[in-house]
Amino acid sequence: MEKLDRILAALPKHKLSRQADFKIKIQLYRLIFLGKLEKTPVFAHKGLAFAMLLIMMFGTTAIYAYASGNVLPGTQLYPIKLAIETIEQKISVNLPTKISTYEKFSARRLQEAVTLSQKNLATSTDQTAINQNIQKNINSEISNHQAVVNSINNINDSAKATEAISQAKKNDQAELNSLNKIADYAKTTNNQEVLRTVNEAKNRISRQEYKINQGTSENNQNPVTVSPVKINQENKNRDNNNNDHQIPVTVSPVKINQENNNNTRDQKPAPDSGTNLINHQLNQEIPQPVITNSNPDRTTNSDSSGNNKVNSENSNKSGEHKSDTNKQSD
Amino acid sequence: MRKNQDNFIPYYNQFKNKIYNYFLYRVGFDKSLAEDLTSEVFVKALKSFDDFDESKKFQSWIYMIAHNHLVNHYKSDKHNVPLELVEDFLHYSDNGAEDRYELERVLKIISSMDLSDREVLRLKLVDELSNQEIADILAKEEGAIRTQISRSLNKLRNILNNNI
Repeated sequence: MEKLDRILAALPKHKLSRQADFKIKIQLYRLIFLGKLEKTPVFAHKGLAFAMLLIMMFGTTAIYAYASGNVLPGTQLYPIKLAIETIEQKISVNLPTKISTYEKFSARRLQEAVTLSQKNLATSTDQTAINQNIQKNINSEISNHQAVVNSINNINDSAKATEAISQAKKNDQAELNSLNKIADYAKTTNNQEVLRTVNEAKNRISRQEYKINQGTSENNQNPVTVSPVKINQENKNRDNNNNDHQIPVTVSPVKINQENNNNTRDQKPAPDSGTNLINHQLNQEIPQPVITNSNPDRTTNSDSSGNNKVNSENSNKSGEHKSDTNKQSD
Repeated sequence: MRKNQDNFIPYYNQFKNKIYNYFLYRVGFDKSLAEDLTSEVFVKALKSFDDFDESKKFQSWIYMIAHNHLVNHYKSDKHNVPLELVEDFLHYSDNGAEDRYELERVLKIISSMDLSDREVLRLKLVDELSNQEIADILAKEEGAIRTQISRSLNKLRNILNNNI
């Protein structure tokens, strides 16, 4: 039995062969390396690899296509430009980058449309195709603009959201200017389809409300609504001469901001129709963007912080009829 | 929170031979198969390294993975453990000729024992695990393992005595 104990105590142990050890280590290091790559967000996107491939394949041509303002819809390089833009969009990993990318593309589409319209006026060749491209670009701008709004609404940090909204509103103003240029072209060429598309885009921009998601705020869990962009004096004058352009504009249901009170006293009151969506012509002043602390679920402007007083004061100052919502609250 | 996977490599270096021997004794000393299974177990362990509780012993954890992997291997491959490779295995051991003969006999007897006896003896004698570690791997109480090892050793002795 001693022999058995001796044998059992010294059972032979073998070592993993060097070759097998090497193979396993290679496998493990590969997995560790891949795991590290996954942690790096930029490389996590296959898009980057594709972009690198694209740049390698097309080289400077691709860079020119992407960067040049002369690469317009209908040109051979334009699909490359769009492909690179799609990749750029996909590798935008955080919300602020996404928003700025959407804004950039939105402005770019409109600029292309403006260039096309000017080119069309100068050459008057193949108007149908160019008009179609102009409409396509405007529609693309509309979807990019909507993406900006959606992205801003998803920002949880109210400070960042406010900053993003401020930038977005500046861009909206620039886009409205570009749209006006295209509208001029449409009027000159009497192109009703382009004009309709332009008006639709302008309506969307004008009606758009940005919301500040205050999920991180301790005191207020309600989203803050920012009213549509104010259409500037240039637009107002422009549209005084074009009364045929009926653009519905959403006026924020509740405008309760002390700062804004001072502004609105000197202004004409917004026309009341009893609904949130009010159609009125562009020759009417649209109120300054205001930040309202309203709950979107509410339809009346009752607020525990005395905001009713502000509204009633506004109504009295204006001497006009009260809105339906005010009547309800009264 | 994700663990730094670089920390896995020292563990691999420490336990690669133990896991290799674990498989070697359980797949009929088929070196190639034991190497493959060892590789698969460490890859599996690396992939689930985040689940490893560092307050516990790595040895118990890796042996549990190896044990489960072996069970799956048998389930999928339904083969009996051949012993024809024992001689080849022993040929490379340092023991003398007489010891080699005895060793071969012992290993064959262990391989012919019941699965439960066989497993505890291997875990105790080959893998040199503590009773608690064996209990963790086989999901049993430490006391029950101690008793079973004692019984299995007695069985082995009886078989050897009867075969003399």
